[in-house]
Amino acid sequence: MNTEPSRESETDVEPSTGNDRQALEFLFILIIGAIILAAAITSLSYDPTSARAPWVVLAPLLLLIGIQINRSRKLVGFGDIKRIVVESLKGHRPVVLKVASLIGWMIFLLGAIFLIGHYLGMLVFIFTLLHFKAKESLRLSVIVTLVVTAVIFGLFDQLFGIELYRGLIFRSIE
Amino acid sequence: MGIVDGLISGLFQALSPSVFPYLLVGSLFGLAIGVIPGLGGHFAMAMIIPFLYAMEPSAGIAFLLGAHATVAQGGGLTAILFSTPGTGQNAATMLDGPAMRQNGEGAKAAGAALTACFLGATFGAVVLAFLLPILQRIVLFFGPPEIFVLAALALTFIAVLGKGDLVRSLIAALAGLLLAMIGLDNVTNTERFTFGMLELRDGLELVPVILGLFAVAEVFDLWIKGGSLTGHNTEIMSAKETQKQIFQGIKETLKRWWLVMRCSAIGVTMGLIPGLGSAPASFIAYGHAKQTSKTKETFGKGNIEGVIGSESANDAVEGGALASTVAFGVPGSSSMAILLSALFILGLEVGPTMITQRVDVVFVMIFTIIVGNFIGMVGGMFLVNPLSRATGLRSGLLVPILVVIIFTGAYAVNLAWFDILIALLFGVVGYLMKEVGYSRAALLIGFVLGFAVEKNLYLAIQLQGPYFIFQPIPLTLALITIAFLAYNVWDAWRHHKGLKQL
Repeated sequence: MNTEPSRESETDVEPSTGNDRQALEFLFILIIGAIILAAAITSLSYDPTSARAPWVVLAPLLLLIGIQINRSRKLVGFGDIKRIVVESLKGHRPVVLKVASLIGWMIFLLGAIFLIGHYLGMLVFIFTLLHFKAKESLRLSVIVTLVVTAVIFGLFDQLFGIELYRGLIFRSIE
Repeated sequence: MGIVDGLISGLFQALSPSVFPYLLVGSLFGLAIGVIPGLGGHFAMAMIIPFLYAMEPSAGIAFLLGAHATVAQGGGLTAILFSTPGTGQNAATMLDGPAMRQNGEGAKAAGAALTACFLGATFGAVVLAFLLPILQRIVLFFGPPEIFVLAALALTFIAVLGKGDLVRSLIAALAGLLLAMIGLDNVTNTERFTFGMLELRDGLELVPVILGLFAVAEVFDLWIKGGSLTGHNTEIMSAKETQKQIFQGIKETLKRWWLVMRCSAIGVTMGLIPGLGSAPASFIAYGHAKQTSKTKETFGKGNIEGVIGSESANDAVEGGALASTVAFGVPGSSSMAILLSALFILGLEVGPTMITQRVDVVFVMIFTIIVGNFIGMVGGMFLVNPLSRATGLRSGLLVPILVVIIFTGAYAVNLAWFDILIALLFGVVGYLMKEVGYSRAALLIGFVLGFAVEKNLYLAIQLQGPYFIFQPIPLTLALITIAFLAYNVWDAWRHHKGLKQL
């Protein structure tokens, strides 16, 4: 019986286990640390009144990130990060591949919305994912695609009067 | 506005024809989302937020809180019928719910859970109503210095009391505060952290950030999981047998009203403390139910008191959590942070203004919780079987639909393509945070509180000078914060030292 504590997001921490997680965290905190450091350097040029509140936050944040990098460094090294990156690039990590593929599909949707507009973009996105990726039947894919698009049109365009983006191509023709 | 005027106005608003349909739809939506494992109350609230821009305040509150109120009820059904908690807060229900199902009493447990949720939520809402006169007096002592230090105290509580590591949670909370400072500084008109991007001049929009952290990140999980959502093939009972058992469950719960009251009181008390949330409350209530039961030995083997105890506590939490959110503008959980964002969107100001002048809005919330849970209970009673089928949905089918809805919601706020990009970016960040153990709740609460923290820090310095911290209330709150943090740092260090010696 599962008696694990909750995954609710008030306490939504659900770390995976082992060295991989620690290496991933090391990479994550290094990236976050670099961004925060860049923000700190940028804020040095601000007016003192504008920089006051950010530095109330930045000072302890940089200290804590330093502590966390030091903690992670004791558990894993740069070699572990390299191993994970290399294995991911070689396709040996199915989870990374799955995440990357979904990000790719989302970027595809973004591009489609930008070019051909919201409605056409979502039609293409839903149908492609359902029929070709999830291997759903043609009939179900077409029905779901049309119903979802119609519901979104009904809700946003008709009920709430929000005109969704028509796309670059439509705009240039217009 | 007086309490009685507010109560009457709130009741009429909540049940008016322009508000009630939203409450009904929101409650049923929350119930359905709760049933689907992996999509919790935050997901339901995040999905609703984009629609709030086109709504009246009462309708928006009813829609949002209605959905939030019933998520736990839906999650309880899945925990019992499929051994998969629909939401995290139903984890304690897993201790006895599935065992009851195995004993052939699944629908009875479901009936008990639905009723306990409703009674617990009602208890919490009534306590909030009774707290109002007290809160009205307390908030008068809270100006900018007090609110600033209180926000710091709340963030410390959230970081420390969350399940995660203290350092990681503090990093998340502070990063959230920093994110709120992106954009033009209102005082000096200086651009901060925009890195020259025009789209960031007005700062990060709340909606895409919320959608990214709590909706896109869950979609990643669904995508990775693949296949059917539950992976269980539980036999669905006949409608007649289901109804019979559900009514037995309701009867059993009403018979144990004193247990419901005690466990609800635990829930409300824990809801008042920022950072604890409903999951720990339901485990503590479960422990209390077991401790005080005459049939302790059957706990874990299918004791209905275990289901009643945990479910009544996890919904009662909301009453307590709402108190600090509406009175001080300090959310104690990520759900309350989303609610606070929603109130901003609806043009409502929380804090002393709301608690003294807009009591009707507080009562709309109170009645929404009560009526929403009632709708959830009735809906759950009659929709157990159809709702159960929702868990058989394949993630491959759900993901494209959810992605499209989320992206549309992110775009609709400002009609900005850039906001979709922000939702995607925060989706990746949220997913990574979940994977490596950083609290998304702390980040969001920091982000939501960031605006108030900076404004109140500025006002406190302008009004009282740099030594505002030495006034009685800020000093007391600051000392509590320091003592609480110091104790926990010392405890963590002692624990670390102990591990080293082993």
